Amino acid sequence: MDENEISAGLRGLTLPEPALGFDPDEVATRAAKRLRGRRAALGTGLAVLALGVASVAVVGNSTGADQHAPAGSGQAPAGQPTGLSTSASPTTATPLERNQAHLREVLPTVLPEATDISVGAFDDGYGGVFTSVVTFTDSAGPGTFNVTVTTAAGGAEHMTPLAERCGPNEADQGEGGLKPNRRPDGSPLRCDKIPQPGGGTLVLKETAEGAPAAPIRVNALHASYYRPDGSVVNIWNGDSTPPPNPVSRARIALTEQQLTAVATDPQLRLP
Amino acid sequence: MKAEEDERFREFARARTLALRRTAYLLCHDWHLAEDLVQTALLKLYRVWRRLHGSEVIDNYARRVLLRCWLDEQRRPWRRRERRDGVVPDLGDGRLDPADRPAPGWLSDLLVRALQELPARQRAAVVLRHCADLSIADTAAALHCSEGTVKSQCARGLATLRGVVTRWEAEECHGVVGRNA
Repeated sequence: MDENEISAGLRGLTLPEPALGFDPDEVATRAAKRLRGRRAALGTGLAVLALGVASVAVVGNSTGADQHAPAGSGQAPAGQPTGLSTSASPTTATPLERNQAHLREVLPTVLPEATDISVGAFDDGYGGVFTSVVTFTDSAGPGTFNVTVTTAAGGAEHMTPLAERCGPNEADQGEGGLKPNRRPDGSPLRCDKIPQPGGGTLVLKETAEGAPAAPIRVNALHASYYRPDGSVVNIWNGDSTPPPNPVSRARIALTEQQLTAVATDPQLRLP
Repeated sequence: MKAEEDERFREFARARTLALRRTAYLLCHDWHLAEDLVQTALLKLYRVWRRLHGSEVIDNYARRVLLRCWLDEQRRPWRRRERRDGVVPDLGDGRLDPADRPAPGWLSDLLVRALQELPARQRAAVVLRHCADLSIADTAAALHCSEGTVKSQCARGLATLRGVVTRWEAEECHGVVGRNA
């Protein structure tokens, strides 16, 4: 059987489909109920927060103390790394647009030899996960990496929990994984959890190309920065050229130092 | 959500549930799990429904969410994975010699079983591109990757499928020779 026959067979699959075991309308009703529940919980939370803020404001006014930082100062919270400095306009419309403007401003300093740096708008992927595609040209030719910011709720829903990272249950870890877990020379691929000064943890992880038992070469070093508040910044950092026709280039887009600087930048805000 | 948006979602769910379940089944080879995945995907889709416009966008998005649900399911540790031990329908062995099994579904059964031999991303690419007959661009959108990646994943997937089918056929031949000897 050749590949054309297989392709034709896949297109004409006949499956012994059993009757549907659930009612789509019932699922819609359940979804509506859940959404209302979430909104009610969010509303309650916001009301409690507003009350708390109001109480603090009243107490602050009564003592005459002004302990608030100037609005829009762009400073990182105390105890957080100061990150990459920027003068991105605080008046930019949304946090995602501010992130895009911030990356546009700092990447030329992070990638001093790069030219033609382009930072795409953060898409509204789904469920609290927002991705921007960055492209540039350096001495190895065109390169690209993705920056994804994930809210705490999105991180809980879509990210592998930090405790399980680099463990045997991670999809491409362990001998039974779906991807190579070794370098071509047989040494294990890197997967490190590095505690950061602000209390977060940076996960740096290599991936390799090839069959699980026969890796060809290391083709990416990805970063996931798990912030203390539950949000996550992911950098997909491979060695491919930008779409639409990606091919491998001589080296991975960002060095470890550059990767760490971008991933742990506290100025990347969440919506 | 407004009443008309809610009704639009219900219409979508009624119309697309079977197709989504079929796609999910091809990914996981388990009708019960396929239904669970579709329900989870519909619940997630409902949350963002107001922001989705246009049938193509919605279909692509729904497939993307379904795919993510399945990949998430793949990543679940074994200790949290359910044991599914319901009644298994008597579908026969798709790996038997086609000459002995002229039933029209034998090829489909063989290919569905062979699909399970593919790594997750390759399987997803092959299912969307070849079984669901999506364009390369739509498959890339659903997989959230480049079109080049889709092409390479599909090519590798088909090559692997061919290898699996050839191996099974060879094993079957050896079995027949062994029985006749």
